[in-house]
Amino acid sequence: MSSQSSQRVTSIDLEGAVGPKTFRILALGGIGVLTASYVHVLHRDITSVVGGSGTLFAIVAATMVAATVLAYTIRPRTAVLAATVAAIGGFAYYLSAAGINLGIAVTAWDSLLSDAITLVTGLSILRMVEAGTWVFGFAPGPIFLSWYLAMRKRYVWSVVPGGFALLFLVLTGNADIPITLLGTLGGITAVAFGELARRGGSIAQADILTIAFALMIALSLSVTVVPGGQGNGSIFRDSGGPNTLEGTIDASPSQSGIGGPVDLSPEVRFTATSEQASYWRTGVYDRFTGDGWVRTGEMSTYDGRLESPPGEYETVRQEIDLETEIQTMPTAAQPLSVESDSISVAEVSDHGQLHPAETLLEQDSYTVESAVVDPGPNELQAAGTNYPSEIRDSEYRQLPESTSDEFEAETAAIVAGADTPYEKASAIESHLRSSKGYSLDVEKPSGNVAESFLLEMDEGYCVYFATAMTQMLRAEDIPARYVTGYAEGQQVDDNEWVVRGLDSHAWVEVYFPGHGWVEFDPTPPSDRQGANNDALQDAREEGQSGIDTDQSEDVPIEDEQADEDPDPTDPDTGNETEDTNENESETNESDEWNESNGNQSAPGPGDIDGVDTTPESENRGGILSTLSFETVVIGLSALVALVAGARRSGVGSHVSQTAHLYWHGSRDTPTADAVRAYHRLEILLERAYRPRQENESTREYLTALAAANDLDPRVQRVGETYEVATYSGEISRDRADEAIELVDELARERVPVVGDSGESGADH
Amino acid sequence: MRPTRRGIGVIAVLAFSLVMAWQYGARSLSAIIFPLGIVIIAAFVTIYRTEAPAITRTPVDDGFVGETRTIETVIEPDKPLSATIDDTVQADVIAVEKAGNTATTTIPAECRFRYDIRLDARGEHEIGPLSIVVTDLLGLMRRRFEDDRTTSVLVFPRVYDLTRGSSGELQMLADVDGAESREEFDHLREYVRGDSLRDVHWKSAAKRPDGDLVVKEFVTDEERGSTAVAAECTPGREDEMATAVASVVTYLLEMGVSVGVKLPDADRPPATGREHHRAVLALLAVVEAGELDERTKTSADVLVQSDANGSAVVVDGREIPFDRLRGNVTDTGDRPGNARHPTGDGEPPEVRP
Repeated sequence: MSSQSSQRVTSIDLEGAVGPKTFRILALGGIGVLTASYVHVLHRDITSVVGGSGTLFAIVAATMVAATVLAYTIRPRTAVLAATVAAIGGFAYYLSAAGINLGIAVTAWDSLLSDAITLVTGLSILRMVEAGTWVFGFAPGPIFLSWYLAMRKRYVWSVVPGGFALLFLVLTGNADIPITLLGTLGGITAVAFGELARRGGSIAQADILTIAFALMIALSLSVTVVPGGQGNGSIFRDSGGPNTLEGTIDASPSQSGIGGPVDLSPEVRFTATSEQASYWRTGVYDRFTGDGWVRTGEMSTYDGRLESPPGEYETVRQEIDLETEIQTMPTAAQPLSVESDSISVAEVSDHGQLHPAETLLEQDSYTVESAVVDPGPNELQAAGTNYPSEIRDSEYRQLPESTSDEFEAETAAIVAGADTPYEKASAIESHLRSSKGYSLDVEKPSGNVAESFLLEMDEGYCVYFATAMTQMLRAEDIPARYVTGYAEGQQVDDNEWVVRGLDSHAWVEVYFPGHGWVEFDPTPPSDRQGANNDALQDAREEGQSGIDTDQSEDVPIEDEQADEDPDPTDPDTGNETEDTNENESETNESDEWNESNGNQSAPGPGDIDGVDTTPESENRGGILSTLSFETVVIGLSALVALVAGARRSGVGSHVSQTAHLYWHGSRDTPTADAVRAYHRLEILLERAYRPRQENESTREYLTALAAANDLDPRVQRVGETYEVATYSGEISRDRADEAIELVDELARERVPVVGDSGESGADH
Repeated sequence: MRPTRRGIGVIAVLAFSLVMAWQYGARSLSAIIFPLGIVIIAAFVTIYRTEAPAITRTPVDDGFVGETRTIETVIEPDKPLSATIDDTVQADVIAVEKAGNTATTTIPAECRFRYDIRLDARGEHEIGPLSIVVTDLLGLMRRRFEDDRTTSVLVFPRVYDLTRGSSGELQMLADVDGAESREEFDHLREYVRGDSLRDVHWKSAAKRPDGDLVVKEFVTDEERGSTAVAAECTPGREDEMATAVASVVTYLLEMGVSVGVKLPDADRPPATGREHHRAVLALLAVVEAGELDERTKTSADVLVQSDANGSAVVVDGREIPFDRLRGNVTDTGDRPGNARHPTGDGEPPEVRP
């Protein structure tokens, strides 16, 4: 009882201190946090990648100012109309920037709608070619409306446009959990304090928010809503699994991640029968986000013929026979046409890369005709920089806005003395090959990966090399793109290559006017081959299935590291042919293990994860360290929730009361001790019988209890001591100690019925 | 208990997010799903655990048409509540000032919910019952607590001050009862509060050096006969009849005349005094239309008749339009300023808390 009344007193105190003005500030702050959360996502995920952060912030600031001013001048209906017009105008602006005629856009509203739905199913906004323009069109509407309404004290309505914007960015997969959580909490704060301001409530009512917020933080950061669903929209595409190189770079058709430590999967993916060896390209990416690659543009259905390179090329036919389920379509660059008996539909990206419309099955096979661009160094030297406009104005020269001057300076230093794009590309390629080591076990850096790799890291794998080279070329204004796929694989016959998961690779394509896209590979080939061979060797020794075909099982693994002599000045280093030749200098090494033939069925994703060919990569220090930070936040939140919950439900005061009951505490003056002893007695009596009423004197209380119950004489004795202490103000030390002693005894005697007494206490 | 519109919105977003997470991958949806789920659950638990607040209605004093009253209700919840309070008021007979009978507010631990009403029509009106819709902090769940008790307020008809009216007609009315007995002058005495100004003996007062008023005392004051006021009206004219009767009765009672009232469905024997006045007004507050039988009409000293042409006061066979009696034929008489609430003897117990 006493605890409850003291609670009321606190609430009144707080009420005096926290008024509607404070509530309004808190509610506006909530809207501010919500707005900041999606603006932050727009900035960090989009404009910092494609540029235009300054414009974005200017738009945000101007919108906020306009909303603040107009909040006092125009009526809500006008404001909603204005925001709608602004949103439609922004969208029209985006469409015209994206080169879509407005008239066509109106008639093709259904496809626009389906585009919007696709976005919402997890398609990153970065996939849009004109992502920056989209941001400028998207931002003002919700910012204006939500700030306008917040200024007019319509907090709940103001959360609607802001929440819509945030939810949209969550659905596109652009907003991450902490920032989303922050925005959500901002919105809830705005509604809560808006209500308190409107209803003239007291801050004491908001105590439930403390518990709720703590729970929200703890749960959102620790539990996923859908089992196995931390993914970014699409499930991992290849059977490689999330921790393999393949799984990282080819996980999604639209983006290519850059991972930390990765494994190599030795499973056979396909067999290629081709006139010449080639890298098997599966994905082309043009936009670099700083920590990954995104393919912009749309997919169109393959209609029989693809665009051919502008210059001379050699046509190569390949037949690809799949050995597992696969969701990519490896071809030699650059495919011109594809034929297949078993695959009916294929899609083509804006970059001319073939993609299957659905998962390809183990028995599927297809024949591709590719245009291999392989000009000599002299021709490339002479290619010049007269890029066609669709190359010049595209994302092929994009650098994240945050790219540092240091990176550009370092690149400039590396290409110093090189005059033509070809010389520069060769210089960069050889620099990376010679200065960085090869390792599959690297921690992913936090910032811009290209920058970290060039300036800080000593080793990395193909993804790092290719990313750095692409960005360095772009820093030099040379159009370049990042491509993924498979290296040529293991040659098992004159015209036949077996390609495994561990051949998964990333390299660079550089555009040369008059020739088209030419491949460069900055990854040290011998080191990569060595790592691949080790992985395959280990897998064979372990007797793993699915790692060989009929043809490949008898072919030993070569280890030609010693022979490797990459010559950066050789014009052909960028060309796969030479690599292939090197790989094929056979050494005699007996096959350690023969696999039974029937064991090549497509493994499910789960099987492959089980194989860890590089045990060292188990070390996930990076993940652990980020986890531990989150764990701290989760733990703290849970603690706050527990404490606040306990306080609200009154458990806390019950606990402290109980502690007080059994423990007198340090001795004070005899009078104070006697008083304290009596108070402890009263807790005891309250739990056993009933609390003392406010208008009841202690004597009356004890007498009443004695009359109704069989009261212990010690209780009376403590009561007398208390009376003497309070009324005379003086009492002997002995008498006080005796009272403490008696209460201690009484408390201890009541221990077995604590549960019982607790219940009766709760009744009152 | 049910979700508010806002609560339904939150549940819809929650369901949408769950479906999207389940169908297309979780993304960061957990940072939306958990907070929204928690606020909904918290709202449910808070509202579920809310106990009905104790409601005590304070009685409302009777009053005249046009007067204002404060309605006060004591609401005692066990903890502060976000609530919307709505007290039922019959809008056709009572006007609520500043729409004060509904409030979106926080009810602190003990709350006196009060608002002002203007009494617009005569009669006995119920105020209440009060309903309290409690919502949680975020306004997602609501629960309605209904209190079935009401307060009634008795509204007397409007009373006009006839002393402002045409004096000739007024004199007739004043003289209806034993005008001659007024002549039986007994003695002079000092004026005391409540005496009618008609009884002031101006000549004597003018002579007195201290300027105090002197009134005439009549011999048969106590024995004077009583005035019977009868009234009838056509349906729909009850208010006019009640006003006319109330005005006439008030005027007569102020003059110290004992007045009895005969109404179509009720009557009151002659008497004087505040209690009597109040009782008559209470009758008039609820009087309904009806006709009197001829005998009653003829035996009445004053007969009030209200119909489509207005109210008429018949005294000694002469019909005086009530408007003229009241001193204003024009519309301005309807202004509350011209209506007066009897004071002194006839003062109704209107004491505002």
